[in-house]
Amino acid sequence: MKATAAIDLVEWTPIHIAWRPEGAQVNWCRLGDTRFTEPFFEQTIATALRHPARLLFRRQTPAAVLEALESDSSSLPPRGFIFHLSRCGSTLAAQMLAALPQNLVISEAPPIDQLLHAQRLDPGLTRERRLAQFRGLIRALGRPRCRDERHLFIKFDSWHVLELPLILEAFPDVPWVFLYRDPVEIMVSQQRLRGTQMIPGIIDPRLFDLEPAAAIHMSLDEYCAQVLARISVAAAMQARLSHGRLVNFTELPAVMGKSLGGFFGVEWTPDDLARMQRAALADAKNPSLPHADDCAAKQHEAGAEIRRLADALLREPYARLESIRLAQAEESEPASAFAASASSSSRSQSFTTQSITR
Amino acid sequence: MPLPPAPPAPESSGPVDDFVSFQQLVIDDAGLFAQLQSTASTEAFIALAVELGASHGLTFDADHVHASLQAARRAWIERNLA
Repeated sequence: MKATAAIDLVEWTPIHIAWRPEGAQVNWCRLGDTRFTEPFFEQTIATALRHPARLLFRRQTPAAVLEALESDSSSLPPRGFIFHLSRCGSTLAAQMLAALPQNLVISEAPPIDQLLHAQRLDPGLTRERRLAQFRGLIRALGRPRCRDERHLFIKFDSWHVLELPLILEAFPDVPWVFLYRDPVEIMVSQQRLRGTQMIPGIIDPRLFDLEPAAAIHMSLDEYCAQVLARISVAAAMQARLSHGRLVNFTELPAVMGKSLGGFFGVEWTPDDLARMQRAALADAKNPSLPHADDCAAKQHEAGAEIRRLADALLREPYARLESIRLAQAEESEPASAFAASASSSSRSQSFTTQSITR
Repeated sequence: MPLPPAPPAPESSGPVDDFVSFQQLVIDDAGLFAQLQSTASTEAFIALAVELGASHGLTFDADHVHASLQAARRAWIERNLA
């Protein structure tokens, strides 16, 4: 059965996983040579499904078939994983990578979250099968659809840092980064428009070690600060245990050049760097608009309650992340350690070594 | 381009079943999918689907395809509500 499933699904991409009492079901679509260039996986799928053929002729399989794909050799091995604290430049990082035709960038693909969620609902699923299904899903998402694609990058949802032990057990050799930002600015962004993880109940608060009964009595701002704290602490702990690299928003976009290229084991050409730099000039989540630096506006907008919560719940985790990041910068790039604490306020800066180290 | 000769018609109990059979046929046949995928409009897609169905002994009309499309769109939009 495993071999058959592997052959039958070669041209298919998993686009949705639904939990059913009989077990998780994977929905697959033929995407052809579709490239994932939009800010989020879901946007590319929505565009693809506008064609009636893709909409009507999808197939469904049990999630167990993913296990047959875990060693699928037609898939690209992951080159790098991107984790983040939310609203801190991770979409920019993904868009810069997706600007290069050799990169296949899967950005916050719902099937990843849906599989992890479905697995949490199935206590009978062994660790081995969880790992096999997760590997199979990444393999299925990581099949090159265009001739040039040879580097696979996966950008996860922010709360997936809490699943890092499983993810790193599945892919122990993949370099990963965690992006974060001044928590006051994140909280202001979340106050403007809450992410799903910041609304108690959409994602089970227990994932963040919060009791549902307590969560419903919290203000949305406090819940947000609690979630950010859990993610920050988990990222700091995993960065110490495994070899993740911490990246502050202030290092973007310059850090995406030679510094992270080297970390991911990729050498960007001058043309690659120019393409990435051009991508950084656009608003990451709405590339039709130019990028605008909003740090000052967010700091100005932050009210007393956000500052109180950030100070009480996030100052220490943020300081821990910064401490690890600066230590990493000194260890890996002694000559450019200053870059780790330097602010890159303009996205028009070039990717020259000089600019990175300033 | 002439269509391939029609295979023997499978047993069916009506247009709905025939369209479900056609969906499975296309899912299993990348060539058929490519033909349908190459259509430039919904109207052309529906017309070709009806034609290809008939060539495989499956009888359904444009209304069935249209209704299936609407149902599929709705199901996709509501996928997270189930």
